[in-house]
Amino acid sequence: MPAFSRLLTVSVCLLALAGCAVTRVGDNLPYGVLNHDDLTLVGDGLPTYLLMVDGLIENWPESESLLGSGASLYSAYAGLFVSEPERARKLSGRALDYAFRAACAADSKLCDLRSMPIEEFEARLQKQGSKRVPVLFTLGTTWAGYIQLNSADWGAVGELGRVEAIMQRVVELDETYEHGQAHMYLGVLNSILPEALGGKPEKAKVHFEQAIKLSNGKNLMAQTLYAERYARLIFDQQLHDRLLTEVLAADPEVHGLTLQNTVAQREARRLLDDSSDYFE
Amino acid sequence: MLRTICLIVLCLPALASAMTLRISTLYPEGTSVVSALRAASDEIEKQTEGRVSLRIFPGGVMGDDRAVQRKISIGQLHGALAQGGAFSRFYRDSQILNLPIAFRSYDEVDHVRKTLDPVIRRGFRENGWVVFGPVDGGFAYVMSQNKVDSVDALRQQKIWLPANDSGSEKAARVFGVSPIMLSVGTVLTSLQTGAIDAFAAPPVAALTLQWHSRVKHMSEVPLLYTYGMLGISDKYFSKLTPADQKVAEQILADAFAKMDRDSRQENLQAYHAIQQSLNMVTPTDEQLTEWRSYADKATTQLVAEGEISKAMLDQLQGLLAEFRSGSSK
Repeated sequence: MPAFSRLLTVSVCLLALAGCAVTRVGDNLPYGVLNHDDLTLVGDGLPTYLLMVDGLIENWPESESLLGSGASLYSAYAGLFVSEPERARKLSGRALDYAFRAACAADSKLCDLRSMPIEEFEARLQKQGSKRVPVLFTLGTTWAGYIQLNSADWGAVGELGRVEAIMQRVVELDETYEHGQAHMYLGVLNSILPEALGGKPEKAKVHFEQAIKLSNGKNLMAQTLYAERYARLIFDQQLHDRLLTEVLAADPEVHGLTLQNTVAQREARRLLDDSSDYFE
Repeated sequence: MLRTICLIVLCLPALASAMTLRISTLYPEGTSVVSALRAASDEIEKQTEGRVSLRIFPGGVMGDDRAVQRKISIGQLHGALAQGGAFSRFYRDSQILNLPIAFRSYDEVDHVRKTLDPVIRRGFRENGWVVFGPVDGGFAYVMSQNKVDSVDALRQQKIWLPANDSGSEKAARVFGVSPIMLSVGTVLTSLQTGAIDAFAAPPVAALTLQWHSRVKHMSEVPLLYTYGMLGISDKYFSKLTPADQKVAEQILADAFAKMDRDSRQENLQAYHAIQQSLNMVTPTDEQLTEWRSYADKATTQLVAEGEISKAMLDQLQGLLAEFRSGSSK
């Protein structure tokens, strides 16, 4: 039972810490995961983390940082490691529930965000200041992940506009947050649809480039998505292949981005291998 | 020099027998439609031993309907998967499924399509197009900021219709509605700024394009049945050997039958999702009768203007009468 005993030890340590500094635990917890470069190990190990966070949230049900960690970790696990669609959907639903609770715990004006009319939703976002950036960013990314895994659910698809509004607000408040990743999300959101249907490829391009710039070129996922979404949408093979070749040549180890960069390189390999099939 | 010529000659049989059909669509990469087309292509390639395959250009990279038709005419493309209206000028009577308020339910649609789908496919074939489908696009409904129950209420709206759709514009005029014509890409912004406050669209489109978030009501009148289809110009399709044509037709017909069924399910789910987010407006029987009488007038006018033949309309009405008398028993 080595795994089980390790779980206990880790939990006990964390609980001891959590008693006096819940916030610190919540903030640092994901870095062990986010800084890893072995996808298999992280995939195997994450459930332990997830259960631990569930337990901590049971004890501190209104802790914004624990709820935020729960949202990010569940969202990452569902999106990256769960291959059965039904399970992935369910876990991403749990992630989103934590994200909503985190937002509500941070500010009562951010409760019930899902059901209010979009105008009200936007007005409340406008009232938020820069200290709400972390919780808004977590909500935006978790919600985007949820919609991606639930794209067969039309109610979920209809919520994409809300995710865009959140990311737009994050960019207005602090575009540098988390290496400028909100720009990366806005890049994706603006390149889902072709221009003829209201997509904005040129706007997407600006966001992708800003995300790359703000991370000093270290956010390889931004660059991979730039190739996958924008270059493919406008059918620019030269740009596509150049971006991906750079991704593959780069060092994935960056604090907070290592796991994501490792995934980005895996995707870049796949996209580059498929390049001639797609473009030629 | 001689060597080059020899090489060219040697290559010729291979060039003549291998054919990649270049197909454009607005559907983005990753959607079930594009995946289904790719899967069909793999199967065709396998069964024709590599002689025939499809090359898909997703996400509108080849331009809008008009640009795509131009590219098909000069051989840069060979076909397109698009909304039915994109092909209607090649066979006007294909618009028979698009008449205003022609259907009251999906059961009626299914009954009519059982007979008319083959008629439509044959009509296109006679006019130079091999088509697959139709693929269900769902009913378009009026969605609006203000409640629309009557035709009079409809006239008060700043309502959007697609910019290149002459049939629906003509029908709208009969209803006494002055539609605002905009390209699809500008509708969301126009709803946000208030330049328009209503539109007609199927729930799938309203949700995907986020238009639903800018209106409050949906009128429960199935205004228009919509569909898409794959059309391949016979100019290119006929270059395949008869045996390869048969293989490609069979695989694509099966793929599109499945796409049609799946798409219907999606449209029903989208309708339920819209019901959760918008206020459903149900017109009274009297109001509904008024909607239908204007629709009939519009249809009569479409026939008078030659948009649709009388014979085709008679066939539709015969099928509907048959269904309605059967289901009322």
